Amino acid sequence: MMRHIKSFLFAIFAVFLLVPMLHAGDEEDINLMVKEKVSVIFELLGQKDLDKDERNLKIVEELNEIMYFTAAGALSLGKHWKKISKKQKKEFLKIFKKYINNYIVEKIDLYTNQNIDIGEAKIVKKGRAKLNIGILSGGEALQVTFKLRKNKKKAWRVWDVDIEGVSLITTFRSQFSGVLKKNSFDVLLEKLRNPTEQS
Amino acid sequence: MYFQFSGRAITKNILLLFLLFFGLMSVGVFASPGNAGKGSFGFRLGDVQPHAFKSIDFANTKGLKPDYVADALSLKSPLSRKNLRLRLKFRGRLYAQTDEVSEENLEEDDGFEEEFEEEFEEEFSDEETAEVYDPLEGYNRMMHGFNDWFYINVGFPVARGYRWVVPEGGRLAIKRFFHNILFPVRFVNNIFQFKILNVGEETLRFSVNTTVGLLGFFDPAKSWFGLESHDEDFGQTLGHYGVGGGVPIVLPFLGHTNLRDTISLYPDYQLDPLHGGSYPNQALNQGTTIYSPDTYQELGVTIFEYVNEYSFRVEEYEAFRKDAIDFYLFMRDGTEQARNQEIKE
Repeated sequence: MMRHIKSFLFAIFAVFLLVPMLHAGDEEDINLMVKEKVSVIFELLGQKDLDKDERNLKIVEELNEIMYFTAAGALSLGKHWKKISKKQKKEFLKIFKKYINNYIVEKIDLYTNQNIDIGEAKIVKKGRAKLNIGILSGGEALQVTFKLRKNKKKAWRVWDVDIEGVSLITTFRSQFSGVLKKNSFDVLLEKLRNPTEQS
Repeated sequence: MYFQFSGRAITKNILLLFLLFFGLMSVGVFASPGNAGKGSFGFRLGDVQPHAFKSIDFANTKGLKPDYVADALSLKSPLSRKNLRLRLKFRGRLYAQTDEVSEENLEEDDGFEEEFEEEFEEEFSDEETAEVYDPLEGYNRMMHGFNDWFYINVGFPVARGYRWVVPEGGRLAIKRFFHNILFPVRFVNNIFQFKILNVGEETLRFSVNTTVGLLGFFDPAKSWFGLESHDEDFGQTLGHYGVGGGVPIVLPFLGHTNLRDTISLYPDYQLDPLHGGSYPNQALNQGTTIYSPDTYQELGVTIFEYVNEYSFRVEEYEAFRKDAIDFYLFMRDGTEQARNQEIKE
């Protein structure tokens, strides 16, 4: 009997010991993933002999590997996600992905040798994590937060980015629902294909 | 401690500065460094076919359109043709690539529909998922359009010209000067929110930067002593005590804000040593005025402050503007979110 209690207590102890370790493993995964990506991207940014378009293309490819487009797209559509058919969802995600990639390409040019300070990943709750990055620009540090979640394959992927508290996905959602209030879904797709300069 | 600027001399100088800005505007548009090949003035000097170059700009094209090809193939200039071939090659690759990957991604996450249905409420707070009440939308959109026109056609060209003349170090110093002199606003609002440690830190910062930092042009408080600034204004004070933003409002020239922050401009203005003219008089009694501006001087100072600030933000604004699906909604919700974050801090 005593033996059983002992092993039972040990089992509980082991579980308590292991749980934080599992979490630490998750955090370590994210830290490694982001640091690796950042170093690869910095290397690409530093290559002066590379054609600018080719370089941007490579950076986008690198970033695509750690992004979670399905989550980003679905959460950008918000309540409208439920209303559309599966075929429309696939079509939307395809266009959304192109839109995001173009979006990134435009933003790459804003980079002019700012210093970057990568923080440590934090698990917010099960399957959700955050990672802060500080970008030193114009004499002040710009706070950027990567929001991550686990996808079906149990890999951590970025689905939203906060810049100084402004969530990219939230700005998408308000814009999308603004368009969908007055127009059909096809109009939104068309707008995503060709974002107008003036609206 | 009594020195009064001569009003006439300052007005004259500001007028001269203005002439200089507008003169440089034209130069700034075409030749400012970093402008080549991007942005809304995006063509390079010496390009044979500026129109053609723009129409096939990698960053500007959102899809492979047959008319672009036809358009460019009809051009006579061999330079543009070569350029086009190069660009099409890369763009083709980009899209071929992304198409593939997105299909792959979708297969991988098959069954995604159920997964996300219940998550909206969980992921975002009620505040964020609620529809924004925007009764002034008609006026706001109009004013947003005006501001946008103003930034693109007047503000940013001026800022580009200014940036071309004044190096980054100088512009940063000017930015620090304006920030330092707004100390009373931060001081009072930190007190209002009972952030006593911040009050102390701000006071130390102001003392150090005004003396050792040469009137605030430098920031030794941060670089030597690690003292951080804590921006607080009256709108944030109200927000701190639970006052909501109210209806969104777009102000001429100043841009997106809301009812609470619009009303809050007034108390902050009274505390602003450069603008709230009555403040130094009242606080320091007559005869000891540090600086008593008239309307034109105030306006001049404000414009200078804004041009200096724009000079850091031109590319940012243009990039966001270009990609927005509905730029008005983007700006409205973006500023609202940013304000909420500032209040939280």
